[in-house]
Amino acid sequence: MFKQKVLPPIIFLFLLSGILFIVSCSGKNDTGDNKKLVIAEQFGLAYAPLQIIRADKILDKELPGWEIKWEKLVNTASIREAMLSGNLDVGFMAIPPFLIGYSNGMKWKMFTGLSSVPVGLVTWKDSIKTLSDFTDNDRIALPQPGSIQHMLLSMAAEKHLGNAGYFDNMLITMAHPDGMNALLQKKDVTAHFTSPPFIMQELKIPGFRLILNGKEAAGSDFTFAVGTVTDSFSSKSPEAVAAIINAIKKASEIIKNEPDRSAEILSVEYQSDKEEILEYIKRDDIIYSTEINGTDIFIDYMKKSGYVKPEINFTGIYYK
Amino acid sequence: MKKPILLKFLWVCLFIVLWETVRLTGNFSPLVYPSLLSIIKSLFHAFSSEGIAIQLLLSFAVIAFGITAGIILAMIAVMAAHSSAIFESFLKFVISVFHPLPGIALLPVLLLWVGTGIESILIIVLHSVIWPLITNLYTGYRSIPATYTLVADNYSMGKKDRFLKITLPASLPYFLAGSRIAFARSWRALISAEMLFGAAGGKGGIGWFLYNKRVFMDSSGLFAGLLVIVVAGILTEEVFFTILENKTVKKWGMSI
Amino acid sequence: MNDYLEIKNLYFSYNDDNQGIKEPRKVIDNISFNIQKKSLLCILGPSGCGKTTLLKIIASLVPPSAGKVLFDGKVLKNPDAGRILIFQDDNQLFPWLNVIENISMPLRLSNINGREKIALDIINKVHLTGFENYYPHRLSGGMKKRAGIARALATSPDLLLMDEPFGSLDAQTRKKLHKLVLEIKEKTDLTVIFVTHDIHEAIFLATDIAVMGKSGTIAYQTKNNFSGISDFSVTGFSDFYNKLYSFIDEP
Repeated sequence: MFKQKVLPPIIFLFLLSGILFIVSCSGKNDTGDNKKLVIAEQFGLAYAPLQIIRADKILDKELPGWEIKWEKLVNTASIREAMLSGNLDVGFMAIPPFLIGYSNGMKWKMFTGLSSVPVGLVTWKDSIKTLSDFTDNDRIALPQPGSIQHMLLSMAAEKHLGNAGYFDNMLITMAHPDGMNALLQKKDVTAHFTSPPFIMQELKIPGFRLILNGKEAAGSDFTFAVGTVTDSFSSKSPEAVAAIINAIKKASEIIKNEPDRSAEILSVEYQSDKEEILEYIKRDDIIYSTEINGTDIFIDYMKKSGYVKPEINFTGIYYK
Repeated sequence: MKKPILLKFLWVCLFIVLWETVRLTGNFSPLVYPSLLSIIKSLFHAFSSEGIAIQLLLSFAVIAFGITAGIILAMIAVMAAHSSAIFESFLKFVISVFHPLPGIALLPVLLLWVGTGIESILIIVLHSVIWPLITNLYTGYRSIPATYTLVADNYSMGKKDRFLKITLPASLPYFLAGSRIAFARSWRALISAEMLFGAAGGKGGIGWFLYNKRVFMDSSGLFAGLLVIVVAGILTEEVFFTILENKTVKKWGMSI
Repeated sequence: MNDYLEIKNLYFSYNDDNQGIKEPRKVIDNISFNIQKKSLLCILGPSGCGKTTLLKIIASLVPPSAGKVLFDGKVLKNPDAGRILIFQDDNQLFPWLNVIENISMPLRLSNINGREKIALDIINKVHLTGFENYYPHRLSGGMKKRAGIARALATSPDLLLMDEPFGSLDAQTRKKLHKLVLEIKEKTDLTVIFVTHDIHEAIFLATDIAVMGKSGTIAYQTKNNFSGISDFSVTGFSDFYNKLYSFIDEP
């Protein structure tokens, strides 16, 4: 009797805690020892060097004997979470999401720049000529709160309208392709803050205009995508970090010197027209470089507006 | 009566102790596993200066609207199905197609057809409430004993009286069961929808709160939001509906 | 005395759906009888012989295939709210109303004033005082029947059609309810048709007895006001019982 009453719950709890234990431990990636590197790639022209590196196996040549794994994750937030849980060593994203993670105590650093690309706010609505023409019924699509697009829009709102949160109630979060689809329908989404190639594709449509560009909002040039690495990985494997920087340099050279072949590779990756991609990567406002510019613009603004904690010291954000 | 409450309190305490024990082993970063104290602090902050109460109300308003509209539509559908065999067969077909479809799966289509406004969220909520409501109301309607109809015939009750004084109370147990399912389904669907597309209609509900906590990496805020969702769910499912049932079908001995 | 209720050459048949072919099935085959005010007619008969249908026709809830029903000399077209009531064995009380609400329900429907007083009065008559605020599921079977009878009496009907009303009760409780029916009949002008398949019940309650056969006809009927068990000696009783039984049991 006693056995029948007590044994099943004990077995249940035992199994449950066992499962939880296994699941929570499998999250930890035992990096370093077995020479394994997990990188998250993102798609889009701003990340083009990553696709070249993978297609040409540049990193495999730089790191002989290493197991290199490329992960595809939905968005910046999931990349950050994967790095936090130890499933990912290296990720690429814009500066603001990195700063948010750093400010919340994430142990990671920026180790390279990747690209500078044109970003901006596109609209189709005739009545919207400047930022002050938006009404409560307008909707602005952008990837997510805290994204570089969101920060740039808030900066412009503060500069031109005196209120950083001016647009916050008009925002709708959508991945770039969804945002573009919504904009093309000319329904409730009246503007889209986006980046290449979507910004170029949208601007090709008659009547679609750019009413704010990123450079104007930030006040100067800035790096759009940067590489980030967890401290645990970079301290164990500095040679791998150096190899990635080298690989990005090589890939950037390839894009510059062999635009035709690069466009070929990218058109397969992005499943889009080769000639269009060729046209884009030849533009001189799309720059692939390992330099990181404009971090201070974002730090200053995000401290001031409370998106990161003002007391945080950001001197340790660069990997050296 | 007191014992179950005491037992539940014990479970909560046990959970708190377990949580803090695991945290104090120090295997987890506070970003992944915040302390209870920081979660409670975030909770106070959420209520005092982040307007989580308003976001919660907004979510509940959307659900209340969806369930009300769903009930009215379901009643019309049930009556139509009762009077027309062709419509009944049609309705059964529609239910078998749409009932298993999670509301959130409709989102991409709705974005294309309806756009990103509050309408899309309302449609998702309506979708998640209407099928269980119709199924339950129909069962309830058919389970009304013939002898009640005889009583109505005896006193020559009119259509309105029959509906208000017999059909409605007699099918109440099924009606409540359907509403419970409707709430559970719509509550889940709504939060997912809010997390996916955020501030529909400008404000955004509790799901949007969670989403913001996620992208700004406020883990204790994230857990505070989860706690609010759990408590709101318990209050509705375990307290509101249970009290409603105790005051009606349980008291009348009509529980199904 | 005038005949209060006259049933004249009543026919009724259902259209049975037999694999798509409609087949008329005769349930009531040329039934005629008369009853007088304040009488209690017991209709005996095996199950499924059309007794319930007969009651529904009398209450004018179902139109007969042929023949007519005259109530107080007139043909009733529509159910006359509250004057003729059917009382079934199934629990007719609404579970969502307590005893007094259930009893007041028909009064409220016809907007009668002083409902509470009337209801309390009837509750007293059926010996349920003290249980006014009980919901039906908390009452015993017999008490439910009392409350049901009370509700039926609330509108002071002229004719009460009781369709095997106490079939589900144990013998003890049934006896008590028989007494209640007789008590009420004593105090009011109520006329009752009481359908049952229990011969003892019929002999104990009835002022008239009719036996319905399986074929939907009246097989036997007592002549003019047979007045209860007191007329019979023990042998007379068993003879009478056997006679009734032979009509019910006809092949």
